Amino acid sequence: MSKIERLNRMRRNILLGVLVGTGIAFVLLISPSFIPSSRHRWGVSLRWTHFFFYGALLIWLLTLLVFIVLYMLYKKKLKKDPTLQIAVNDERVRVNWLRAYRFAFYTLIVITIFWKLAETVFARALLELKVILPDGPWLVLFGAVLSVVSSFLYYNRELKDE
Amino acid sequence: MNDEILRNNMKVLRAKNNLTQEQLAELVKVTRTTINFVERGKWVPSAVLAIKIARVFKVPFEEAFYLE
Repeated sequence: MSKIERLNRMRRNILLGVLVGTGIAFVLLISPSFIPSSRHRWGVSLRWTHFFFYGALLIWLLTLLVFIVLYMLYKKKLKKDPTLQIAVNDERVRVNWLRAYRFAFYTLIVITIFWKLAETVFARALLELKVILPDGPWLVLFGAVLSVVSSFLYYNRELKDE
Repeated sequence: MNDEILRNNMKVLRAKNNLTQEQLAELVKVTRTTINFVERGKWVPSAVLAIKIARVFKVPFEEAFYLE
């Protein structure tokens, strides 16, 4: 396997790791809103929600820490050979990053609209259902990371053999 | 509206030159996935990349790429 391919795979694995770690943390973060026994406790009895919240943060920070180290190793390998850097970030990859950022931009608009509606128009209905969503900034932060990484991985996927 | 699309003979030329996608990718300094996308017509390469690919095969540009 060529060096370009090895580094390309390394980047994909790093991003996949970030996606999985962030996904797990996100599910943990929003789960108190949908678990019946803990719904009414959100923001009142803090023990359960704290467990979910800090658990999510811990998993996310650990994920970022591990994959930032791996990313630095990846960058170090790229810096050794400038032609490798150009090859791994070729024209299609650069466009894929831009497409991923554009997708994330639209996703964040949708999340923000959804969250604002939940906070205003559907606030009463959600309260009756005892569903209370986490703070908007957390949704935006996780939504941004998840949408950028997942869409980049999708655009940069391998094509199946015909 | 211009509905012409860029096609290529890369698969044939690669076979003639006994090159794998990975080897071609290394020669033109892109990822193998990009070569795969170009070969299947899923990605329209830049003029620079298309010329580089034609040069590797030592054929005129029009022989490697054409409009259909």
